[in-house]
Amino acid sequence: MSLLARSYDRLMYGMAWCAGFLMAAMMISICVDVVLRNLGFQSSAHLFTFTEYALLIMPCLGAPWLVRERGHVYVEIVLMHLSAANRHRMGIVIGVFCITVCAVLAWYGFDVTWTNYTRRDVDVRSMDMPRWMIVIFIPLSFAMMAFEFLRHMLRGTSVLGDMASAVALKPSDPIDDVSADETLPAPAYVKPAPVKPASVKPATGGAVTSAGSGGRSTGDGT
Amino acid sequence: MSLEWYWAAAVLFGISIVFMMMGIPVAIAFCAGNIMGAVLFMGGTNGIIQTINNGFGSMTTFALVPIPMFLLMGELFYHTGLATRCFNAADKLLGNIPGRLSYVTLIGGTAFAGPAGSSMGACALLGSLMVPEMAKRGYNKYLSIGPIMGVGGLAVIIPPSALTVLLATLGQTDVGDLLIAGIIPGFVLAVMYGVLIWAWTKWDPSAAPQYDAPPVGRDEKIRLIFVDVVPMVGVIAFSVLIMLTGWATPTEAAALGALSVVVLAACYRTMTWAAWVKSLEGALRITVMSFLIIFGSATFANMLAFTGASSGLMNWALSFDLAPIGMVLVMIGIILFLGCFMDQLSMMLLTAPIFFPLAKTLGFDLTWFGLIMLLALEVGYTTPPFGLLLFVMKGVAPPDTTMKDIYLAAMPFIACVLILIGVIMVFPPIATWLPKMSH
Repeated sequence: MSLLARSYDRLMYGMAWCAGFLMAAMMISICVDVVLRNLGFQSSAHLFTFTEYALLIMPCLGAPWLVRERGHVYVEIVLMHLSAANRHRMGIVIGVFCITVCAVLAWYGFDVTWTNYTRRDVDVRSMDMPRWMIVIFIPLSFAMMAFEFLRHMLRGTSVLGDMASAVALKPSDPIDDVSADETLPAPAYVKPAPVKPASVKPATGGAVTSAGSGGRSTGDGT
Repeated sequence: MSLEWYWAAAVLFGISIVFMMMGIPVAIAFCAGNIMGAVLFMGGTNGIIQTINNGFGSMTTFALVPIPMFLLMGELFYHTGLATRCFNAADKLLGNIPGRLSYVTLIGGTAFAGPAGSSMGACALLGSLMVPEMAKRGYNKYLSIGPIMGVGGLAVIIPPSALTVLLATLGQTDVGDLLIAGIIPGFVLAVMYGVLIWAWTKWDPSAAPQYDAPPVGRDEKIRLIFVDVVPMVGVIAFSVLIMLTGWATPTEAAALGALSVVVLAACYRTMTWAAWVKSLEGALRITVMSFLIIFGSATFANMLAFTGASSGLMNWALSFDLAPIGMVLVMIGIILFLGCFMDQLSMMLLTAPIFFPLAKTLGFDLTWFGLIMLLALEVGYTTPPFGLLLFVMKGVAPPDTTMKDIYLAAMPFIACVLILIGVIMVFPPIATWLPKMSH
């Protein structure tokens, strides 16, 4: 069993690594394309297609990892007003809900993939790509997301990241998670200043919208 | 299933909003809303299949490439310490001018938040970094917290900004134009903020007490400018300029921008493997979330059109016979309201499919409108009583800061953005001139 679990973990983290690799590859290939074009070479249309497919594959590969990391943004305004017990119950409802949504999309995603496979559908861009080869990443991703949500629930961890409002409501409590700030050398004048842990919470989300751990910015932003 | 358009609209918007309010992760809430809408309005389970097919189409869109690239650029700036270099240099270069830390916050914040267009992260970071320092120096709360709240408005419109790319894509308008359109208003806003801080320190010198900053010699200043400022600003200016001159598309500008940060960081010997992995990780986080939302966006827009909800809402809005500008004001009002509950991605997804066609019907330039919408999205974030950024600030500010302090601190900076929106409305070329010139 532990071998299975380890293999699964390797797969999931491997997928996230691949997603990161795709992002880097996207950056480099576009730059190479610009250089080649300016050197008078004809740029390849396949590059364009590769990039478009990467746009779908990259988030699909990274999504299960984001669930594991509890990095999804969520609206906290109602949760923060619930008692701890009710918040826990709500957490279970949310977990079950997320599993259901992901499972439904995974199920119908496989359906679409299978249909594409049996009908030999092709996605016509710069080349004829068997459509199922790309579409399959969608159900794969949602299935693994469903599993990750389930895993959090079975282990008794919340599917949601820590609420930033915990800091807003109890500013004196120490916060352990200062990971994001560790990478940031503070300006010289800040160094001697005793910065209280509570004020260094790298809130990846606000009191009302929150994402779990790490990271500097949230999906406002992407 | 046929329904009156208003029921369809209520169901489509209502489901997603209720799910989001429950605390379900935003991206999943949208997927769920779309599945339910699709089952109701698009022929049962066929609707779900349609959702997946639409998702495939809308995610594999080349115009979205700048999103991960700008995010990567921003994360690289941050994790390689280049943004911090800029920040420290600005701090030293400003010398002893009154309110220097407020200016440092503005400059640093724009450097941190720029590429990602993420004001939340910047707000949290600056809040924890600058507010304690400013408190120690005797700055009053308004002058220490205010600029941090204002930074987001700058970050979101000055290119490069991933959020701008997303809005342009959702509104089906030109990505490059909208990015370029933010340049002049961005500078105007920066000047307005600068004047605001200057006037404040003139009017009430005790708000930002002078203190003896460590003296920096002339040689050191020159070194700082050429070593720590020019290269960083140069990279950003480079990616904007190649886009502005039409030498590269926004996609290429974004990729080249990200690569040039890598090269620059390598020159400073800060391009470590750890920084690279952290940057990819950070960029991937936001990319995944943005794209999960984009996954449902086409279906959402389709359903709004298909059920007659978009046209119904538009006709209803037009039936009030408001002047076009009045209509824009109403739209801004709606965004300000939504900003109390939602993050910017969600606000965009809900409003863009209705607002952009409406603006088009009213005969507005979509680039102009997009820019106003971006600014409104940012103001919505900081508007009392519930703007999200206010709570982030509350979370990171020193314990004795009250919500009222934060409201009052945010007010003047919100006013600047609102004035800018007004100026852009009255004088559209401020937004539209540069994109036209670049064509």
